[in-house]
Amino acid sequence: MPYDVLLTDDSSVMRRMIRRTLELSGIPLGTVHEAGDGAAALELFRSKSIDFALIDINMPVMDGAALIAQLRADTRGALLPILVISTESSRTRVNELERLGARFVHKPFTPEQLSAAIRELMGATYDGGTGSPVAGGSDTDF
Amino acid sequence: MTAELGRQLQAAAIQTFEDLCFLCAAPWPEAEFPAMAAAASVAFDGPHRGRVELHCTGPALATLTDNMLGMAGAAPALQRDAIGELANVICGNLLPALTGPDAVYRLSPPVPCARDVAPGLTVATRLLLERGAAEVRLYLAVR
Repeated sequence: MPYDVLLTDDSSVMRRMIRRTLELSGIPLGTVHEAGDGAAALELFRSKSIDFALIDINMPVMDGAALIAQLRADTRGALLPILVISTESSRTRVNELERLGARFVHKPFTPEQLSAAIRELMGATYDGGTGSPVAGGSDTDF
Repeated sequence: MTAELGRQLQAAAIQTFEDLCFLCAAPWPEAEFPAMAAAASVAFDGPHRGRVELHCTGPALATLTDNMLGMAGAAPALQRDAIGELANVICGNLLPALTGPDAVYRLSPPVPCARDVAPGLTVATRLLLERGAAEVRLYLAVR
């Protein structure tokens, strides 16, 4: 089943990089909805079908932490798989985000690190070629 | 402390160029340094306040951007975005060196900045990149 993704980062270059990694990760993709700030992302979430979200923290208008809080307050977003992709280095803030049920990838990342984090987020390992799950993987827990 | 900050700044920049741009960077080896063509600044506020600036030569920025995107000939708008994002990542990775891993900082969105060295420069590091050079500057405000 292809996944519809919400991709939120204020850098269009970073969104392109992440999108490319998504496409090469082997995860079956439906539509990748992009937003440049948390407010735009929230609008997309409320109007589209979203299976998981990739979110930056430091963004204008509404930052990633506020966006995640809003998503978690929504019935549809309470259990949404969320991967934060950020330069955030504060252990305090990372712990807060993880308490909201988000996983975390630190920038800078290699494509392999990001790809592995996305596959882990979705609780399966894909062989890349057939798109079928292979042995292994872990449950996504929130 | 300044020398250590310089090392941390250099390490953050080198790691960023390697991971995001697949580019090896090394300390600039010569006294003469080329003119920079583009620059972006990221301000931070927390236990310390200041900004990190990333300056690049034109060919270096073109290579950095193309490598990030996996393409050739990225448009100037994408290069401006790329230098801002790279400054953002370098800044975010430097901050734990200022006050440890628990401190919380707020980073402002990247903005273009002037190429001249402004008053109050704390430390800078110059790097040799494939096809060019980059300089990263840290300005710490005195509270």
